Amino acid sequence: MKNVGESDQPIPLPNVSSSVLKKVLEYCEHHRGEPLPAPDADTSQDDTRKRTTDISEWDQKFITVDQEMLFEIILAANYLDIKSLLDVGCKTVANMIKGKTPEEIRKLFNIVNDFTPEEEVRLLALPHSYHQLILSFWHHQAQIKKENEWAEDR
Amino acid sequence: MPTTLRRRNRQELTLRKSFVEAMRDKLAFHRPHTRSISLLRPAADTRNAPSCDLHYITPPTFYSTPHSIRNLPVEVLLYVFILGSEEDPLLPLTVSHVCRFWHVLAVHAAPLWRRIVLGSHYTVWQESICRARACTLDIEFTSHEPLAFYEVQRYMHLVMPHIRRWRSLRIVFTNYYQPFLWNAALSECCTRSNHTQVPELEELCLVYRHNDDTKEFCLFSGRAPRLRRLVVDGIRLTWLPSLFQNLTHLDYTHHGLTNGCYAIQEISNLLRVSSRLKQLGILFPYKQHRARPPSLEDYCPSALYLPMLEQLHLRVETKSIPIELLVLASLLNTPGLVELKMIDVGCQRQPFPNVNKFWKQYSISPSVRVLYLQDGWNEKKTVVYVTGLGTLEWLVLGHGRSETVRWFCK
Repeated sequence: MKNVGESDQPIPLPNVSSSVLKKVLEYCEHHRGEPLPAPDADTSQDDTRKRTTDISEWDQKFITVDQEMLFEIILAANYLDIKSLLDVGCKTVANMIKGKTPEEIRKLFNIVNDFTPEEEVRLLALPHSYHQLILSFWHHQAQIKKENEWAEDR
Repeated sequence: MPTTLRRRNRQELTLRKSFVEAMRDKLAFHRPHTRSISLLRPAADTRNAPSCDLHYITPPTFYSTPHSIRNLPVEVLLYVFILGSEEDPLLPLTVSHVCRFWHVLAVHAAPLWRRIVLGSHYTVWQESICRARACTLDIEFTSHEPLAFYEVQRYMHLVMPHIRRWRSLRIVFTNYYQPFLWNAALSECCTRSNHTQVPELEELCLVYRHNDDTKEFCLFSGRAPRLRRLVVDGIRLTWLPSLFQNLTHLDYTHHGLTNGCYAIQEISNLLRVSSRLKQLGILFPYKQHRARPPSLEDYCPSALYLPMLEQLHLRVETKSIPIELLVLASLLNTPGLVELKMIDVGCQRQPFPNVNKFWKQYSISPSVRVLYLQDGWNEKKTVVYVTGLGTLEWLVLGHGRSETVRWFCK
């Protein structure tokens, strides 16, 4: 908006509905005055910084909306170039996906499994046998969780 | 004169990102499903492709009923995958099994495969390294169960040929003792050669509390120009300026192989090398020593100047504040310190018996605005003392995990 300068002319936002814009404004209002993210912290794929999926308490409450609204907010944040809001939205979706099996993800987003039977066979025949891998990974994760709980109780 | 039509002079058509996106918006959901790239193509075919070229990707696949996720631009969907993979190392594999479009998207996104979690499934991570192509790698080797010496070596052999691509290295051995584990994991990193330098390494974490190997490790041929964050626990490192002078974050747990003035001298030396630190954490764990060090009463070390230090975390896990920490803290000159955290790892209900002695020796820098006193550090006289300083803005008193009192002083 800085580039537009002061003007009475309306700014068209064809991709953002009023209810979504209201949510976006609520977010911007709450985070007003906070420092902008560094220019290098963009969404470029080879970004050198590691990221986490942690979301602050207020943001978490803010983004607790139905899936349709969630994706609308992400699209609006992307269109309006509001990096921090895009982050919150994407982290929320990432949290929805992580730890799930492909079948659970398909169910969550109504995605059709369009692999042909041959392709599926080939997928599972890759060096990593998916199911075997998942099972042992979850066993490992459960163990770490148990140890962390034990350490916290201590 | 060669004509522009001759094959060898033809140039590839390059499109601006905005144009490609506009075209994709127009065409993506209306174009019939094409097989422009073969599904399940072996990773070897894609190794020389650009690290993340979205132009190669086919349009989205079919969703059973329209779902809002189908409206996400490809780069945003990829960003979601990358965020998720930071905490779920199997996420790239999972999403690549959901549908054709996600499979192609995942396989062609090199940064998605950069996280290598060693310790099991050797071939999986071998495949991941291939799919990450030229991307930097985050190597993680966490083991809670005893691993044989040769097993540790075998996993390290997998990632050693790619050492110049390491962005972070995290090795954590917990809950068990196995002799010479550091030797197994790091011996190749200590070979002096151009091939063991780590030009991309930014973060290093080496934790093995039960280590009793006194060997000092000189890592990466003394060259890690981008290294900024370091966590060490249970290892003795050669603290070369070319490795550690640019550190901004150091979480240091003393290896316990020295104590008394020898330990203080050792840490003083390394802090003089890493004088650009912004965050520093120090812990002296309890370890039994056969030899008693010389008395600290006549020990007069020089002050340590850390001009950029903003956060200092002093941790104690013993029943009283270790004498080494007491002396070391009194040497610190930190004019820019903003946050001081005194942490009681053991969460003692009683204050440390020598906490008042500590505050007599250590003077809080006037720049400190936030002070955190947890459990053993949280003592009435201390609270009265720090309140009287008049420079604090926040005083946080911690009682166990749940009872934290925040007191706004100004």
